[in-house]
Amino acid sequence: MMRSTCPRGAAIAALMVSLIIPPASAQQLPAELQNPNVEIVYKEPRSAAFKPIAERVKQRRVLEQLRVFLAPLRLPRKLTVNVEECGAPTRDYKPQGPVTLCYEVIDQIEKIAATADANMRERVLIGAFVQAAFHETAHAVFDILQVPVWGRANDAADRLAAFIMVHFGEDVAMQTILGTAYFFRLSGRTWTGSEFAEVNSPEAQRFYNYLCIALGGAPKTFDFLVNPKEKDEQLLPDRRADRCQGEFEQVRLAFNLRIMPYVDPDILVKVRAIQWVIPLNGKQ
Amino acid sequence: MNPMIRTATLSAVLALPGALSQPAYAQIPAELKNPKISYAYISPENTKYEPIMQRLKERQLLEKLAAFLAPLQLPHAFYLITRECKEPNAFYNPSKWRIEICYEIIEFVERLAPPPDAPVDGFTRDEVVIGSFVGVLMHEVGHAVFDMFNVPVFGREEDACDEMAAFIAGQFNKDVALTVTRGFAYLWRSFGRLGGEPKEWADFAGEHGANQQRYYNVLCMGYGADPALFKDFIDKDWLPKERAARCGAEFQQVRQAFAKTVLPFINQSLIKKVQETNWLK
Repeated sequence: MMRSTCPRGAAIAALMVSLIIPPASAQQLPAELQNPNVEIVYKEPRSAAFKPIAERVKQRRVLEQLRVFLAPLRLPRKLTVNVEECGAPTRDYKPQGPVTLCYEVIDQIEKIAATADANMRERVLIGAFVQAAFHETAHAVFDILQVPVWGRANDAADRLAAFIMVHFGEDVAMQTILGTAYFFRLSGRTWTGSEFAEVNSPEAQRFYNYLCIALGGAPKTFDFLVNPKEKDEQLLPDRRADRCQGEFEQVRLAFNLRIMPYVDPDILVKVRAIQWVIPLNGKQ
Repeated sequence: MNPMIRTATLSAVLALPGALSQPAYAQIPAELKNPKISYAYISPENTKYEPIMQRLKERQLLEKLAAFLAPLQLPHAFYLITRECKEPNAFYNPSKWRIEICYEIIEFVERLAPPPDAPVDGFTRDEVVIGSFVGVLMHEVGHAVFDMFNVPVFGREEDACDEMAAFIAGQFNKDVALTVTRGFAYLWRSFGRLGGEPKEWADFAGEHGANQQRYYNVLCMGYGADPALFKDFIDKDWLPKERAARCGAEFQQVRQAFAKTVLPFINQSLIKKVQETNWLK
């Protein structure tokens, strides 16, 4: 199997920084925007192939930034986030367990992003990584806060991730939502037979789920999904688009009822005020 | 619900020549009354649906449904109607707080269920007709409950309603659990086979899961609730082992969601009465 080349590894590291980095530097993360209940661990990969990725993720303080992002959340117990080699792209969250971001998923994201058009590549890298981090963290939040979850848990985690993505301004929403959507589209997987028994939903379903929450939450920003410019594809069919406001409101109601009581509103404002995503050139 | 599917089940039940057509219908316990729930059989414009409406009245479909739902401590009025819809359908209408069952579904019905005395893969006609009908009805009840009680739904609502249906199926005796779970699963299996697998990207754009996914979801809820009762789902290789291993946790997720978000709105003395009643008789 091909492993990521150095330039690509560097690219994703830079992009993961751009995903969540404040404008100054990761070294200057505001002290008050820490979450003492979020523990982060960079585990050394066993495979040499992942070591360059691991180094850069650590240098860029990706987990520290995720911890800043989670600062407003008042957690009744510790939440541990690990980056490690899993032997698979994802490792399911288990109750009480840590959130695990696998080096393999970064590798997979790189490979899929490499197949994207040049102008979409960085967006796919950013969006897919943020999606992976938010999705896995959502499972832990559901568990720690004992949130009742109706519907399939993975879809619930996706909807919460999408909901969060549209709350940090247009740039973040565009990069993360579209990057995520294109990542799924580029996956190239087709489903058949007992594969439909999987707990994950097909990539195409997830593609539409993210776009729908985005349209519902930021209808002006994502208007092009239903009213594309000439020659562009209509990414969200009218029939689904008509429901997206309702889908978004449903997640908002659930969030307000079950998660917002654990969010410190003053810290949330500070986190939202951070310029989380820098322009798409990957520079700090 | 997928409208076509919804209709099929409901009509199937109503047209059932077996159990439901027998005169010895389940007695409705007198205490199962809820003044907020009203029901009406709306006369159809098309006279060909008159016999269907009459049959529903004789079988007290809406009276039974109203009694079944009586324990809900509703914040406002709730309506149950049967009507002609100009389409085969049944749905919850949130702008009117109303579950609507269309007469058109009846004609559609019996194609899905196995012929009498000729079970398919062990599924009997009665099981499919009754079970799928109840499953579909409980799916719509799910929509109604989520709406009227402002239930937080983080996942996709259509899947949540299937979970609600399968969960309710397990709250009675084993016969009910078997009939509703198996009948509901058969419905999705049939539609999955009739419609084929979704292939195109846009085939996945709807708010509903693929029929194939819904089939496995229902099997999983049944197996997760009672692995011994639904052991044949595994023995027959209907439910892959990888998914089966997670079904206990999936069921617990739904059980906890129900306990936290719906159970507080249920009158506990009345629900006991509902559970003691043999609704499928």
